[in-house]
Amino acid sequence: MPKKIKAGFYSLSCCEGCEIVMFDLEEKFLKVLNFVEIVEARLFDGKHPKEKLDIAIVEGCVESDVDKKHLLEIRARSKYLVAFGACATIVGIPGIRNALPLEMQKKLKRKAIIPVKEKALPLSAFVKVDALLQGCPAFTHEIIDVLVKIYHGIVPSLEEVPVCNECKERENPCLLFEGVPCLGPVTYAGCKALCPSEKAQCIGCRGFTKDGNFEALREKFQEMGTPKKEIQNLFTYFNKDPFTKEEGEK
Amino acid sequence: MHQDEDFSIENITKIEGHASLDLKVRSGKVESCEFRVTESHRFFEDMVNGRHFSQIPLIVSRICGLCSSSHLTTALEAVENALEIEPSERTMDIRQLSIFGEFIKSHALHLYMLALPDYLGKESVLKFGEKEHHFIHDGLDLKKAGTDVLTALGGRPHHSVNHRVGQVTKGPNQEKIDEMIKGLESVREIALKTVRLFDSFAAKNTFERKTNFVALSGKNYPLINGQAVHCSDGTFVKNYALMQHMKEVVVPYSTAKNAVFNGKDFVVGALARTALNKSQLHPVAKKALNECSTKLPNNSPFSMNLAQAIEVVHCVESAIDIAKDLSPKNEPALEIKPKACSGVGVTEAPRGLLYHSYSLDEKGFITDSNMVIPTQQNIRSIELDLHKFVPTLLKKPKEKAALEMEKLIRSYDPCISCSVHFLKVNWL
Repeated sequence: MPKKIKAGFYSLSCCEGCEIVMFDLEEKFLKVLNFVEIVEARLFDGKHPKEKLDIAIVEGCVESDVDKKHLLEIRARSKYLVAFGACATIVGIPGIRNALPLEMQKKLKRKAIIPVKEKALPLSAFVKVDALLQGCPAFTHEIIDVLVKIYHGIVPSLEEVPVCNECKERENPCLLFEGVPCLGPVTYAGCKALCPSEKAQCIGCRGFTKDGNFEALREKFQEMGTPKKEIQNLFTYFNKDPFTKEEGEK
Repeated sequence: MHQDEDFSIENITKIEGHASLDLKVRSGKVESCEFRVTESHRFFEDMVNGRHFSQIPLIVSRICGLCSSSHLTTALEAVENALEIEPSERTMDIRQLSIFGEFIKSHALHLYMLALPDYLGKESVLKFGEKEHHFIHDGLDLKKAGTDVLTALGGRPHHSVNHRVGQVTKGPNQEKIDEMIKGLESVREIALKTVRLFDSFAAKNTFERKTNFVALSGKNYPLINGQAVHCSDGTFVKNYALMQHMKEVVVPYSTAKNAVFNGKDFVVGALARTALNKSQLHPVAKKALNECSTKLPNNSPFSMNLAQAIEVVHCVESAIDIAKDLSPKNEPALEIKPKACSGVGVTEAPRGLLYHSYSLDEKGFITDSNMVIPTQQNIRSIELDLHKFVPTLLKKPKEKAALEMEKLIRSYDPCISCSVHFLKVNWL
């Protein structure tokens, strides 16, 4: 029996859907336990003393100082830290509040019982993140891939291709032809073009690619007759508006 | 435990989300009991404002990882209610099936992965030995039948991708439908076994507290598409008027609001549904319930687990019936014209009654929204249960007593991520 790596699962502010995805591994979940020892997981395990970890898998974003403190504490005792899901990697849906009018944000902040930060932020705003599990929710095949690679000490790198590549591999007809505004051209692949294969537009849950041609895509949507405000809504579903520059916040 | 004790359980495990319990016991009586939700606010109600109605279902499905389809469907119903759209029969069947799939998934995970360890004296499923491994297999097989339904109908097990206002972008083909039915048929026996298992546990828990039950009212054990809500106190209220009876209450120590119905604490979820709609259960589920040694309805929160198991049987059987008649033919896309309007959607999520309401402007953008989540509705009952339950535990050692309290809380299957979705600001 090979030596097991010690792993912990943590959730900050999120829906905990990514941790639930662990159970979608089904029989493979039991196989994972052959080389991974889960030493902490509040969702499905009891309480344990805080141990040194080989790998910490953290879902959710940082909404408050409580989240931030928790994240720093996890990072300090983990060799590798993996951002688990859209909230952890790109803030995703919780990030919608970052773009609310300033006055509204201030009021929200005042009303909060647990003080919240100015903005909801992904893990990388506070700590070094070694690997990403993108998507909302994260994908089972990638969870196994990351665990196996880290077991062997190989930090996985990001494959920088857009959803369109995988969509073509599946021989789906392009949704843009049908007048459906789809973010496939500017979103990271790895999902096997799940949504377009169901005739549903890509909404960017895996994050925008570094070199995406956002201008051209916006023009295309306009040409297709999608109203301006809807286009703006679509680009800010999971991601920060690619057309406005904001200064980073620590 | 002593007659006087200050007691606190930080970060209760094996529930969805972050919550703690603070108790003050004086002279053998509970002086104060605070079930504190400690998760940060999540601002959903404010985040959907200004968004196009077509995006709402996919955004709010992210409120919860366990019951995403319920949020999705409730939002769809609310927007359709506002825009006066009636989806096709096939769309409704696909939705109904997804909800069955979600109930099977959610209940299976709660029963086997979160609740069962309590009853076997184990810390968690990860500590199950060879002898208990078959439980994990049963739980995962059951869950798989549920998620396979969701995958066939929505592209994946969580956050379905193809459900839209008034329609689905693409439905399952015959091959997927057949596979889904096969999967469901393969877990029929496990579902019945689950009932027997949790019946044996329920028989051991004698604690009871009388409260009111609230559930959706309608035909065929309604989980979606109900037009009214009923309460065991005799109240019968149309969906749109629900909030005249159900009031949300802000509690200073928690990031989740509580709720009262007609001014009183109440319970929603499997126990309430089986209590109020028992006669509408699928015949197979009804028979399974009749064979149990524990009788439902009863007033024991611990029976919530058994009620969930009964619902698993109901959902498996009802899903098979509907899937057999489901058409694999895709329908043409629906053109929707927006208008200024507002509407409500009320459904049963796995944990109980779920309410969404939205107002749209003439271009179809959201101007106002409200959501009331099952866990919020149950929090007050959890606290009142503990008031009555804790004094019966005083003879037990502190750790054992704490475990019993957690067991009670876990029976409610609380979902904390859902309950902190809101932070309502009064705009002056």
